[in-house]
Order: sequence, then C-alpha cells, then structure tokens
Amino acid sequence: MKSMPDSWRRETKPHKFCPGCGHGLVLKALGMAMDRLKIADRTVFGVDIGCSLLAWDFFNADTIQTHHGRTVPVIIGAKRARPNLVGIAYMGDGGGYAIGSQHLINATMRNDRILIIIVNNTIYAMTGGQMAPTTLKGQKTETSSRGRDPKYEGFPLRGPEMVASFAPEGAYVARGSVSHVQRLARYLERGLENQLQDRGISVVEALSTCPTNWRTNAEDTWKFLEKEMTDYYPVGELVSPFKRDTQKEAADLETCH
Amino acid sequence: MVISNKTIAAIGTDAVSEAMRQINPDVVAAYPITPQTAIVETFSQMVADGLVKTHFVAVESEHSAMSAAIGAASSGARVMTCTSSQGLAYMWELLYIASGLRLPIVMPNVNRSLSAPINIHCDHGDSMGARDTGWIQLFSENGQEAYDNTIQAARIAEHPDILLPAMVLMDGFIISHSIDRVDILEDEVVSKFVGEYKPAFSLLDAENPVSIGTFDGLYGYFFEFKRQQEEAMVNAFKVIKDVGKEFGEISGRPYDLFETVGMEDAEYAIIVLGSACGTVRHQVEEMRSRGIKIGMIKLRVFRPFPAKELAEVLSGLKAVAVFDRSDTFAGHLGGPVFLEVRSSLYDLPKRPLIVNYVYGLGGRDLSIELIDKAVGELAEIASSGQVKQLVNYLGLRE
Ligand SMILES: Cc1ncc(C[n+]2csc(CCOP(=O)(O)OP(=O)(O)O)c2C)c(N)n1
Ligand code: SF4
Repeated sequence: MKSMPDSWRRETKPHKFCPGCGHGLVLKALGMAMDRLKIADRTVFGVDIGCSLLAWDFFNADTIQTHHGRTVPVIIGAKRARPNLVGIAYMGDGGGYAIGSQHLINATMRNDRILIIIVNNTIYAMTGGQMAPTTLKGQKTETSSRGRDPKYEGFPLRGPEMVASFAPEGAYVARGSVSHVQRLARYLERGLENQLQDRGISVVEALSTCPTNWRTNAEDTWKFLEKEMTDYYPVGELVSPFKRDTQKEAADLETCH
Repeated sequence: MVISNKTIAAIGTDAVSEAMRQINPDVVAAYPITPQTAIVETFSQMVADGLVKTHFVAVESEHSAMSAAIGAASSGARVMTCTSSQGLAYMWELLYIASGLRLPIVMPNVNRSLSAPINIHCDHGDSMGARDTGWIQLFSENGQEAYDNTIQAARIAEHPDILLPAMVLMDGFIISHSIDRVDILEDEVVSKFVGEYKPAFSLLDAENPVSIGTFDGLYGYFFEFKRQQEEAMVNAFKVIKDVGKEFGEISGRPYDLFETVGMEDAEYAIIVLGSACGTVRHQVEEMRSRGIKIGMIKLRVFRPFPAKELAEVLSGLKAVAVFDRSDTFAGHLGGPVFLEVRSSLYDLPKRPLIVNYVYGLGGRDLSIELIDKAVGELAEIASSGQVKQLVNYLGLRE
C-alpha cells in the first residue's frame, strides 16, 4: 500500500482531521480507488458541511463546498451538465441520513450516476457530538445524555439497507469500514466503476471513528468501531450489478484488510 | 421592587438556556448549528435531568424544527426553538407560515453570516434576511439582554393583540460564547411574569373543531389576513413598551424600543444594534467627556421598526451614521438598518444628513479605531453639510 495515493494533494498533508479520526482513512481508501482507475483529473469532489468539509483541498481534483445536506444534488447538477465527469458526493451521516436524507432517496430512485460516500461515525461531529440517526441504542451524546432511547428517539438507521430495499437496476450499495481499508477501497472502486460504466447510482457507507467526540482513547475507539458499530452495522456489499463476482473474488474480498 | 435571585457568570447561550428553563415551554424542537448548538445541548440536558416539563424533539433539520414547532403551537402548546444562519435560512417557508398562522413561537437566533463562502462568525445577514417574514425581532447587546429578551419575547408574542412569533437575536460568538455577568431572576418570578398560555384556538379541541391555514381560493381572505398581520405589528409597539416597563419592575432593568446615549445635546449620532453597541457606547462616552457633541442610539427592536419615535429623536441633528452588520446587495443602497432609518426620516421638515457604514461581515472586528474613523467622517459631514460617500465599508481590506 502506498503511503500516499497519487491522487492526494501532498502539499495539504498532514491533513486537518483530529488524530485518530476515521475520515483520513476513508479518504485514503478513496485515493487508492481513484489511483487504480486514474480518474483524478476528471473528478469533481463535493464536500458537505460537517467534518467532511476539512477535505476541501485533500485531492488533486476539483472540489466544491456545498451546504449542509445538499452535496448529492449539487454533484448531480455537475454530473448532468458534464456527463464525462466523475461525481463524488462526500458527507457525514448527519448530511446523508438526517438533513439530506430526501436527496439520498430521490437520487437512488432516479439512479443518478454518481458515487455517494457517507461517513458513519454515529454522531454529528463537526458541531460537537450530538445524536445522529446512526447513534447506537444507549449511546451517550450531547443531546442524548442518558443514552439514545429508542422509545422516543427511534432505532439507529441502517442507511445502505434502506437504499438497498428499493435500489434500481444497476445500483451499487455497500458498507465498508476504516478498520478494513483495502476492502473499503475495493468497494469505492466498484462504486466508481459503476459510474464509469454508466450503470447506476453507487452508495457506499464507511464506518468511521471520532475519538474527539466519543471521548475515547485509541483502544476504546477501535473497540467501539469493530465491536459495537460493526455488530449493528454489518460490513459487506448489499447490492451489486457486477456479474464478474467469481467465488474467488468474493473470497478475496473477505480476506482483504 | 427588584428581586434578583442570583448573579452568575455565563456564556450567552447558557443565559438563554436558563431563560428557556424558566419559561418551561411545552415543546422544543431543534437541530444543532454553530454557534447556537450550546443552547440545544444545555437545554436537552435540562430535559434529561427533569428540570423542565418540555418535550424535546431532536429533529433532522431546521425545516423540520420549525414544522414541528408549528404543529405543536397549532395544538395550543407554548413552543420554542433556536437556530443560526443556514438553519434560519432553511426555515424560510415556515417562518412565513408561523407568522401567517399567528403562532407565538419564540426563537433565539444566534446571529451568524450566511454562506457562501462558508463562515461561522457573526453578522446580521441571517436575521435581516428574515425581516419581512412577519416575526418580531429583538436585538441583544450582551448575555444579560439575551436572557431578558427571551423572557419578554414570550409575553410579547402571546399577547392577544399581537399573536406573532418572535425572534431574539444575539451576536454569534461575541455574545454566545463570551462569559458575561448575568442576573438571573427567581424561577417563580419568571413563571408569574410569562403566565399561563391560553390560546384562543387550537387543534385537538374536540368541542370546537377548527381548520388551520387552509386554502380559501382567489376570492378568500388572504389579503385581509396579511393586513391583520401588519396591524398586529403596529399593536406590538405599545405591547413591547408595556412589557419592557413591567419587566423593569421585576428586574430593575426596564426596556424600550431603543436606548439613547447623550441625545439631549448631540449634534450628530450613531445608530447601531447588537454587541457593537458596547464598543460604540464606550467610544461615544469617551468623546462626550472631551466635549464632542455626539450621541448614540441603540436599536433594540427591529421588527416592528420604530420609525416615528426614531425620527423624533433624530430630528434636530445635523448628521446621522447608521451602522449595519449586513448588506442588502441592492446596488449601493446601503444595509437594512440604513434603509429603514433613511425612510423614517423622509417626512421630517428638516432632515439630518445620513451616511451608512457596513461593518463586521463574517465576524470582522469593529475596533475603536474604526469607530473613530467613522466619527471623524461624521463630524466632517456635520460641519461641511455634505455626504461624499453614502455607503461605506468599515474595516474592509481594499
Ligand atoms: C442548514 C444547516 N443546519 C445545521 C448546520 C450545522 N451543522 C454543521 S455540520 C453538522 C452536522 C455534521 O454531522 P455529520 O453530517 O454527521 O458529519 P460529521 O461532522 O460527523 O463528519 C451540522 C448540524 C448547518 N451547517 N446548516
Ligand atoms: S471531530 Fe471527529 S469526525 Fe471531526 S475531525 Fe475530529 S475526530 Fe474526525
């Protein structure tokens, strides 16, 4: 694994995320996928409001700052205007599943040819760690100080499963994790390939970490990600239009980290 | 009689949360946004700790926050929410619906600039954009006033002659995140002051079923409804004054539509609102101690706009400088406060000269030096009788 993908903009490294933040790993996986497909020079990368905005100068690719929750329609606009572009909408779970959830649903329904990446860290991180649709049952946040109570606050949302439930033909839907960067990179690569082959929408959720707002040390951060989060949010491909999935490839994917 | 329970050191958002706790609304629906977030967080903690009887709804956006507030208020509840900047902008269509339905929702808005480019710091572009939505707008100079205004807003909004939603405005970071001395009233005093809310109509009243906000066609009463909203704003002048006076009786801090400094003998004056009033007042008092005949008007109420009263106070002046922390992008017509003040002066037989200073966009600091610069120019206008540049940008890098 290269320490820095070629599509990364080196002058802006080290990046701006907190130490231990998962965003950097998601973007590493994305950089690897962009390198493999050699698409940085025709990519338009949209960042939402949220910690995703700290990636405004992350890649050697044109980047647009959108407003909170609207990265999907902004990237759809760019893609419809210039179909040869590769459109990537990068956002947090607040942007993707709370304030911008209608765009996720409508873009999927229209099967827009873009890649949507939703970074699930179970909270609104940029605003200081409030409850998000993805906050786990019993998880304490700034607005659920006694732990999320499903009676009043509902159950945590499984976004990819929701999208998969009505994904049209040609859609690609997966959930990866920053604890398996290679596999996440493969999912993102497939999401991008799906767009390049003009098949349909791609939605990839990445389970990620936020030690700052979780107030966890390195060990507990990783434990929360690999145990609690992964138990409730299983990692894997949910919908895939790729026919070439041989058994061997599937096995490969299972073992790659 | 002044009953001051305790004096605390609090950041502005905590002062507002404290007022919300004492008002004890039935429903609060909110979504976090910097720099308002601390209000949501502190208040949701109060709910979790059982300090209020409020139902708190952690909705998925500001659009939903105001929609939920409208639903709850239509059902006869006392309702609050709070926001900032993009959040207020995202509430847009609902702001009109809340006022059109005459729902007395109270909303602290922590002033922050609007994108793009993105900026989280203070200016008044967010609430000034909402100036025609039919909401009452009260500006605060510091945390104390944010607390006091929040309590008064409930009374004003719910007054039967008004029944309009009210926004309490406080400058992002400068007030919201600065620690200030705040006198807090006794809980019982506040709850007696705001009283019980008894809506005349509400949903879920099985004996008297009502339809709310329905379509009544081209030949319906839409026009009359709008005229009544305007009438309510006119009524608000008196109610805001009365409530401000009554609040003075329980707190020792009376409030009016605006406050003046040195206007009895001033030859020229500055009009300003929000946290900048503190800096401007400091400088105006310093200049007055040197015999300079300057005055200041601190505007508290922007909606309704106290045009008549302001014109009276300004009538004898040679020149007036209006400070605006937002712009109207109208082609050098000036900021929103300037437009209102200028129009208020139109009917005076002898109008003072007027000049506009747009300052502090995106949180840019208003320094003493900048105020001195503006006052120097104002003195020049007063003595020469000429305004060289109508709209000026104070502190702009050029
Ligand atoms: C209309 C609007 N409402 C609220 C906000 C404030 N805000 C900024 S980021 C954010 C949530 C970020 O959470 P998420 O999308 O999960 O991204 P993360 O920071 O966790 O990566 C919120 C509520 C805003 N900018 N605009
Ligand atoms: S606050 Fe959390 S999500 Fe944001 S940069 Fe820091 S660790 Fe990452």
